Amino acid sequence: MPERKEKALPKHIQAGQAVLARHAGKKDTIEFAETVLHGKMAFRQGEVVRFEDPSVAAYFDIAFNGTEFSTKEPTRTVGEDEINFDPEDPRQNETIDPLTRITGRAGIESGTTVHQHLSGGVGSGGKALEPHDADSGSEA
Amino acid sequence: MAKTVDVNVQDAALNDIKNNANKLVVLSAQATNFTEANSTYMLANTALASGDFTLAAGDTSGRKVTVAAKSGISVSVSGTAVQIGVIDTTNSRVKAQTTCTSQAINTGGTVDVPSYKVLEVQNPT
Repeated sequence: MPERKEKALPKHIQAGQAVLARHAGKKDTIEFAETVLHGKMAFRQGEVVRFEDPSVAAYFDIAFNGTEFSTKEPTRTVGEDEINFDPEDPRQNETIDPLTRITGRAGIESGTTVHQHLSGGVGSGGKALEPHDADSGSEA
Repeated sequence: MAKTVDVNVQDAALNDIKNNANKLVVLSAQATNFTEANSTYMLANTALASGDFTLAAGDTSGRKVTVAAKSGISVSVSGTAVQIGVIDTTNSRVKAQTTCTSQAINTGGTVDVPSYKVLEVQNPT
């Protein structure tokens, strides 16, 4: 396998931009995730690097043919897992949806019916009591 | 020969309630004294006036007094209502109290007390 050589990236790839994955066009060839620190990255001929494009919530691939890059317009929305990617351990082939990294649920999900638990009534209409009539006999 | 009693005798008892009871209270237990009715066991209360009471012929015999319905009474203490009473706060007297169907009520809510017969003084037997 040929070694990677550092190449200047196209100008539209900014420093700090996240690299989602490297692959050779196949799902099972992810090597590692990294962040673009400067305008250069090491590439291997035939390698494709997937960059995150947060401005449009998408990613795009750049392929290196050994001499130059091919740049592609964002083709997919981040979240579609053509590439299985795990930020915790990028060597693991685990699916993750970057848009749902923050999990957490509201205490009440939409569609849940909240039943009023205050007996006695709130607002119009109170709880009706049922008093028992009182009789008092008398004796002479 | 029948036993009789002057209706004024019967109404005297009923009018004592009508002319002195100035508060209806909803209680969590039977009150044995005024403090228990006006504070200890009181879950809800509303003011009464003499016009809230009506004297009439008894359902069985003699005479009766009924109190008007009261609705939207704010619940001041959460609990289970088991008694309803009419009390005299001027003279610190529990004029009459009766049982009611047990009902849990909570602060923030209200209760409705329908008209009911406070007392019927029947003819002697």
